[in-house]
Amino acid sequence: MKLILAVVFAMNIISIVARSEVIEFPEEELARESVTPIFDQPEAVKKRLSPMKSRFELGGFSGATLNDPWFNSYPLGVTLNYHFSEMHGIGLLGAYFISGRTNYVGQLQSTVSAGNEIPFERAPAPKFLGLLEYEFTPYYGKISITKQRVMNLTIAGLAGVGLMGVASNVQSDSSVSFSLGLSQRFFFTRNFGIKADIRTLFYQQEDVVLRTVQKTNFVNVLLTVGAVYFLPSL
Amino acid sequence: MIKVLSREFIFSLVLVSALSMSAWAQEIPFDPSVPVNPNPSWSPAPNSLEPAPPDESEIKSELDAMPAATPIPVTPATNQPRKRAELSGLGTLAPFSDIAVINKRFLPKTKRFEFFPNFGLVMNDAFFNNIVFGGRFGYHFNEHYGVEALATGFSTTSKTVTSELNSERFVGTAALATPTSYYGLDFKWSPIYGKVGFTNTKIVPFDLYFLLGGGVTGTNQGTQPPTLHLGAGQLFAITQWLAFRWDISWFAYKSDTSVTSRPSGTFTNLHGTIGMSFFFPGAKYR
Repeated sequence: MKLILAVVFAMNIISIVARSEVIEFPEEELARESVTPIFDQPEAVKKRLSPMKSRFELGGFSGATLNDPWFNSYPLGVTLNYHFSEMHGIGLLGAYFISGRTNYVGQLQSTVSAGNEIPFERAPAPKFLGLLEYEFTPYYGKISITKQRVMNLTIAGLAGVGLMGVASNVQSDSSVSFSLGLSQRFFFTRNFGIKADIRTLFYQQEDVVLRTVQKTNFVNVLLTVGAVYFLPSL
Repeated sequence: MIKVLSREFIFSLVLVSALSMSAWAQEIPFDPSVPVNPNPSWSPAPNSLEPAPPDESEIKSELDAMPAATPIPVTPATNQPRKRAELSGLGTLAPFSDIAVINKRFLPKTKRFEFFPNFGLVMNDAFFNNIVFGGRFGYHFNEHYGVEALATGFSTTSKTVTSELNSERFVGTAALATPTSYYGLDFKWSPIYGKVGFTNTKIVPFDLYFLLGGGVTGTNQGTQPPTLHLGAGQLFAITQWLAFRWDISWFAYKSDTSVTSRPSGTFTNLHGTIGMSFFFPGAKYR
């Protein structure tokens, strides 16, 4: 009898312990009806076809300066960039300029008598440019061109500092240069693409229009188009 | 008395045990290897209240009474080679002729008007600072093609070099034509559609478009020469009716000048403008 009692009592205890319990959560932890959860760190692009993080970028470019009154200048240059992340990177830019006088110089000299008094032989033309640039790339995306093919692209802002070398028939000079610009890449493959940049360059050069020639601040716009290749290859 | 109590006590314990055990969650043993029979054989429990199974002859007579139905083709058991042949044909299928690699346009343009107030500057004028302000009004026939009317004004000031030519060398710049206004009409082609992630937190749909058109440029020389316009730009959708837009436009015109030694010349202007585009009527589709 005692044994039966002990077994039954034990079964009771076990069964009571195994009963379901009502667990109460705090109100703020409960899911609310028709409310989409907001993630703290949403990731808009899960997987990039053409990633830039921890990759080097080699590039070559050409282009033109847009608002130099006395010279049409065409740069030939190379770039070497390193991307710390998909959004941040630094780069080195080196360019050599091929310059020719604009039509305005000839017109001034031929049509205005005072034009001949301007010492255009001392007018400086861009000769070389070296920049250390920071690149911020907030935009990465894809475009549809033929409805059957997508290309990836990036849109970036550029800020840099460096040296602008200028030269005239008489002398050469250089000055510190600052740059601000915008850049777009279009990827044809995971490693190869084209790149279009527009930069505003701020530097100093001799102003030959002044009676007493002296260095003044000068703003030039540089438009470039080139090709880029990312390393290591994917 | 004790015996009676202990019996009652034992009975109550047994009862409580039985009740509490019935409250246990029970795991239903399920063997995945055993297939579930969708048509289990009918096996009535003894003393069941369910009706007895119909007689086989009764069913047969009912079926005979029904109208003859189209016979269902029965696939023979030896259909494996045929199946294999059908699957092998998949490799020869023609690809779809119309595939959209990027679906769902967030900002549809078809049969909608677009108003684009904008401002910017002329980027290639060496002698004048030209601030551009204007408006464009367009209509989109479909997602790719549309027309757009332009009206542009300019606020012009002399650059340092121009002022110095005047003040230091007494050289006027009257021969340099600079625009004061532009009115024109463009054909708009938007062949490229895409999506970009903004700081990897938000998707922004955008269009890349090209413009070709013509119009009339008003100049500081008092002339109104016909003008060729080429342009390209991008439209970043913010909502279904609002977008940020930037535009690079190239204008070329030939103008007479007031200087007799240089009676005419060809002038080009490169405009960079930004602004917001407003689309209407409201989109009820995408």
